[in-house]
Amino acid sequence: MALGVGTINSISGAVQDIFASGAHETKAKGLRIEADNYDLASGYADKNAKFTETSTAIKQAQLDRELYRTIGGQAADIAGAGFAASGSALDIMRDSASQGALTKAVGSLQGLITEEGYKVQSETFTNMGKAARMAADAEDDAATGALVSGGFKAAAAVASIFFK
Amino acid sequence: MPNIREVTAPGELGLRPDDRAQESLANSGRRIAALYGTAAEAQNDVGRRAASAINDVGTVAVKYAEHQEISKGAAEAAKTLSGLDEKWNETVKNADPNDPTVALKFKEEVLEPTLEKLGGGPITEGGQRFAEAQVQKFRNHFDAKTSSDMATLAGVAARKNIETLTNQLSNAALSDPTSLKTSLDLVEHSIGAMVDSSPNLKGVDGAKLKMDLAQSSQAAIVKAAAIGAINANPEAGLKRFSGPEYSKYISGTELKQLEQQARTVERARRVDENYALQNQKLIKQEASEAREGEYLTRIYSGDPKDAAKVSTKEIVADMTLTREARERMIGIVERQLKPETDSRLSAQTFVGLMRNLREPNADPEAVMAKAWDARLADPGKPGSLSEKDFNQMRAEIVARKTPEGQALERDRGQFFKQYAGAIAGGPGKYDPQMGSPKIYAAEMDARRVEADLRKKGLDPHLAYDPQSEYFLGKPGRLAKWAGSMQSDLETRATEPAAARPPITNPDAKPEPPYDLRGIAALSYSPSRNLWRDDTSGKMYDAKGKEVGK
Repeated sequence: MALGVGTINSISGAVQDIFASGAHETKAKGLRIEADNYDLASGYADKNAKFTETSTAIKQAQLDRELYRTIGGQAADIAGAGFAASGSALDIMRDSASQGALTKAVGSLQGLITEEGYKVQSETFTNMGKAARMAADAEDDAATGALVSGGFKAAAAVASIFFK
Repeated sequence: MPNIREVTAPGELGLRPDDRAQESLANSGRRIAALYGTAAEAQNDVGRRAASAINDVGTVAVKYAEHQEISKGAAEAAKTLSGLDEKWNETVKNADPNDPTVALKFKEEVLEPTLEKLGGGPITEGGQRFAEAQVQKFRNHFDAKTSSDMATLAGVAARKNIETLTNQLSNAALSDPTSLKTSLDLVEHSIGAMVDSSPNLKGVDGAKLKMDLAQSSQAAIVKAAAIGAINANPEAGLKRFSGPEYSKYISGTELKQLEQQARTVERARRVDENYALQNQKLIKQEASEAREGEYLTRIYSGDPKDAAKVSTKEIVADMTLTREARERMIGIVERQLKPETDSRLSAQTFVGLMRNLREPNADPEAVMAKAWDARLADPGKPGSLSEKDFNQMRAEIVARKTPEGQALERDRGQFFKQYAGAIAGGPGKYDPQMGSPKIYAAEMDARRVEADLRKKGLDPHLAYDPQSEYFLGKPGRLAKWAGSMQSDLETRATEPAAARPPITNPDAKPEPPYDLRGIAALSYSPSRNLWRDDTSGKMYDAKGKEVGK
């Protein structure tokens, strides 16, 4: 060992590693920002799930009210026509109640589906944030490793000059 | 009829949740995260671009630094290698060849610290790779180099040690050829043990060194033993070592040399025998001469009692004397019975003998034989010699046997060669009847002066040194020896005719021409009547004129 191509390679390798360490740190910063954004997106998805739950409840209440108003109108109409609340009148009213209940049930189910979709989206963003953070940590490790590697290469360059 | 009215709520009355909020939040969160993701991606992009820029700039910078280090490292490596090589060469040059740890110590104490320093310098990978490669190369280089040098060093040590052993065993075999077999076994065993125990001599190199050393060492010992055996007994020794048993140690050429050695030993033996024989003769001759001297001392002692003790009977029985010496001594005893010879004749004879003695390549023994003959000649006979002159002649010849006597005689002879004319007469005027007594007187006077100088503790050579106050060539002294014409005439008138030696006396060489008297080595040809300068080879006629070479 002596001052030669190996020494120069070690020096240039050390410099390259120092710059690579900076690059890894930069990448880590970017990944952390990405992770933070995923966290925020996850929060918004959670909120949307809650919004969906609230919205479904509102829609259920409106459906109930619509159903009551329809059936009440039918009873008033029947009574106004002088029909008794029997026979066909009841069938009509029964059918209305059945359709109303179906609509409500579908609306409730749709709300649950949307809510669940937002919850899954929230978890997905959370997981993506974790993954991005883990990648950032890995970049940090890589930065440290590059610094250590650069240090070793610098030491090797010095050693190659003084040790034969 | 009364009209009663009732209030009826509208049929669609209800709360309606709204999804827009959470959807908006979720959408905005996703969008924000996406924007942050974009921002992060932008940061990542900046990081990637910064890293890429750092890579590009850093790579260039590293390459530059590597180049710098490699350039500097190459120079440093070369310097280091040179220094290490030098240090190793210095180490191995001064190392003990018998120390096998030289390389190990060098690596531990010098090489590794230096290589560690060299490899530890660069800080870049490329620089380090280069340095490590250099270090490895240097390590490999020095592994090979030190191993090689240590092997060489170990080889040198082994060779040196075996050489010492071989010399010792060769000496033993030379003086005692019977030790040959033991020596050969010892050498083979020693070389094997020496090479095998060396950590730096391995494999093929070790085996080759073993074979080379064994062959050369054993061959040397065999040759020494062969020479020893031939020295002891040329014929038997040569026969033994000419056989097939030793053919792998002795080549054809060497066998020829051994044959030559056998002949040389044989010849040396004969020479030694002859030399011993000659020495015996010389010893006997010297003993004879010494005994002759004793007899002569007694005969010429002047005391009749001593002289009477010498009898011819004793001489004949004295086997210390050679046959010739015995005859001469008998002749001397017989000569004592006759009257002493005439001093003028003796002087002429003495001067002639001295001239013979001073000739180039003169044989003192032959001159001494002549002196003996002259002494034994009848008195009054030309060529006879008196007792005094005979003794003087003997003393001259004995003195020539010592370096001091030779040197003095050289000076004396040179002097008389130069001044003989002045003493005995001018050019062409020499007459043995007139000249010889003058020369004789001068010769005797010269010896007297020499003796006086010795008595005074002075060098007798001063008598012949022109710078000396004792120089014999001074005009007054020369005039005294030359004498006057009147005295010459008187001498001639009183000289008995019978006593005059014939002019044709072979010993009576003419005096050198006046112009030639300064020549140190001058010889005379009686048949051609020419003089010759022996140094230059020039020839001169009787008047001293050059006639050629």
